Amino acid sequence: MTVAIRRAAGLMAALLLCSAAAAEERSAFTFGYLDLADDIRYTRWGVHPVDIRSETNRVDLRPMAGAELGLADIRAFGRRAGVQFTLRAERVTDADSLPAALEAIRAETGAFVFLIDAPGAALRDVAAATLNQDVILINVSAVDDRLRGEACAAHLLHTAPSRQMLADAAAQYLIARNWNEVLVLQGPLEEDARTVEAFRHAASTYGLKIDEERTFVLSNDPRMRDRNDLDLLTGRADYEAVFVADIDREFARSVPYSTQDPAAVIGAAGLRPTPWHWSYLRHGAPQVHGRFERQTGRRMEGTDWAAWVAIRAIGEAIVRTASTAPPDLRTYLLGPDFRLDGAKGPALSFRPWNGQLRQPIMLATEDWVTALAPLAGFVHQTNDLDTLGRDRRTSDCRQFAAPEQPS
Amino acid sequence: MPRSFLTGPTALTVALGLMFPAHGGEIYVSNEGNDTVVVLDSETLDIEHVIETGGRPRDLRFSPDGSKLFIAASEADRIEVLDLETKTITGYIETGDDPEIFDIDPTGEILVVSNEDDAEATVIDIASGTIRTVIEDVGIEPEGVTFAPDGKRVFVTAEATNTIAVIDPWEGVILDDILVGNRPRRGAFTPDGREYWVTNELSGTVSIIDTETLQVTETIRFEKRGLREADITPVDLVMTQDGKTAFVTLGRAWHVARVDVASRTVEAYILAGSRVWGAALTSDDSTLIVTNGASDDISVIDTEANRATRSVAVGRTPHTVRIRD
Repeated sequence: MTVAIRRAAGLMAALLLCSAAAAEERSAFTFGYLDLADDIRYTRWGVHPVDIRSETNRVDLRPMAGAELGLADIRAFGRRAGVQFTLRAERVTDADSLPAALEAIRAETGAFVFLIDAPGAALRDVAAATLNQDVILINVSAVDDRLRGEACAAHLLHTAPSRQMLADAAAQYLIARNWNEVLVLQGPLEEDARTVEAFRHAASTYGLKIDEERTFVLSNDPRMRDRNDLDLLTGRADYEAVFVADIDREFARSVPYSTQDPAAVIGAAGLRPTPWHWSYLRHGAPQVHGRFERQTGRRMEGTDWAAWVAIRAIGEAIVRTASTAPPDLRTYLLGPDFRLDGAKGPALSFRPWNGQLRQPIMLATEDWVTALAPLAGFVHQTNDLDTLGRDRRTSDCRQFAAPEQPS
Repeated sequence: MPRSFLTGPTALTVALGLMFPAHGGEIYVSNEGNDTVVVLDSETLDIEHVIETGGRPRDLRFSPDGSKLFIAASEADRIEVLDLETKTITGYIETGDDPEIFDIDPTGEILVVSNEDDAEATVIDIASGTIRTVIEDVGIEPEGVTFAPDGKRVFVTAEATNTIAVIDPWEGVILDDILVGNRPRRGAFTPDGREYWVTNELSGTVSIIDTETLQVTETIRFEKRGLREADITPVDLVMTQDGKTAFVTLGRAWHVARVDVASRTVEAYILAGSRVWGAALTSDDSTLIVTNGASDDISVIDTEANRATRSVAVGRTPHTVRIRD
């Protein structure tokens, strides 16, 4: 490391002057952060109907708080690398304004790393608008598999897990418990169809039997009883578990303990696959969660974790490469030496074929992490974390340079 | 139950009588999950005493005069003082939040403890039990605390910052910090004090630091056929009195690595238990005892044969082991 930062108060005054000067000489490194004012994922989906009407219980669940914690955590890296980290955030009114906002922050601050909290389609447009530019975009919330597949981009990394990773985690858990027959309940939205698609793929990978797929609607209309009544929706089928695909989650909440046959509920309700849950006690997670809660005053969510870990990944790359040049950082992030502690156990790294962060997935109830995927026994020839999500061989992403084969 | 199963442990106990020196001794193990410290007879390996402690007991250290055991009770925010003769807790030292690992200077005057949640290290005057200094900003999630053999400096690992803070505890200042591998956990000095060895849990390595230049001079990697790279998660490290051999617990890899200090080569991988982490040697270096955090037992390893001879259930999530012999 070229810049040694000495902090001893008892040293000579001259040395103190030197380090004061060094602090002033630290170059600024700005993270850009973009999100949308009107994002249905925070304003509607997952919000409890009581909370929609309540002013007291509504909390801001946007992952900006995770990014802020990440920034606090990498301060020491900045000292060592001679840079001063800052965050420049912009909340735009609609997805179409994202590229212009990005350009404006870039022109103003020189930022080239942007954390983006936006739905898949919006992210795809930003990636297209910044193609072949020296920027690194990090997706902290979109689970869309196409962004990691046919619509991937070489400058777009993902710290949020993909839908397939979440579905694989759920399937591994059901297999591990020997609950092999599954009833699938699918909601009316496009996202729900995609979730079922991912679960179908996971089921065929791991050998679950999907007994029936049924669609539900959130409605009290007596003419639609076959699709809004849980007795009917869960009757006349053979299953040990019910997988619910419901991004809105309002219907999903009613499913546990309401099935005709006794069955575990997994997916949007019951046991939920998530990148992070506040109840996890191992691997230094309580320390991270404690820092987050002291800073933000609420529980840390999965997207907070993804934003936190995105900042930490860049901090780690800067301190290890002693560089702030975009190509150096990107090469290091996607290279074999990059390892990151995400407080979830194994070392994390990026998949060099599509820029997805490898990570364990928590399977959590309301207040407990029941299991961490990959579950014991699910092994991969190189890295067990690659049992979650599309592997190198089955990836549709063609935008990343041919990665070196693992030794 | 088959008859041969019953005869096994008896045969082992006989062998153990030979393994430990005749003077006999005690093994102290802290159980994070039970809030107890258990004391085992080093010859019979029977649990002789179960001492209830404050919440989440972790690191243990004997006082330099050999009369007391200090117990870091993390959830109680204090170090408890156990009288070794009466096996009763006779006092407390307030440490600040969440004390995890600590060390005592060779003269027994001060104690330095890492406060995991606050990125701090606290220097405590042992005789008065009062805090001398709180050193802030030692790195995020500080863990391992080790006094250099001359007692002048303390090296503190910071798990989330990947650094070692070099501290002058007498002046209460940080002299430097050294970038090592990912998630540094615990370290040990060579007996001559020239090198500091530290485990990097997530990198699966040990970094060797020249204590003069404060530079990382070498990195030891661990690999063994059949062990997955991701499972090699080194945590604790102990050295023999002559400084010739180091033992490194490899966490989820179920093994302890035996390293030749001079050549930096791994001489053997010794099978232990699940999530093997804490380690201690007998004073004659003939026996290594390790705690297995995820199988709730300790493994007793014969360092001549490089083989575990027995495992003993001790309690939930055994953290640290210390031997008095």
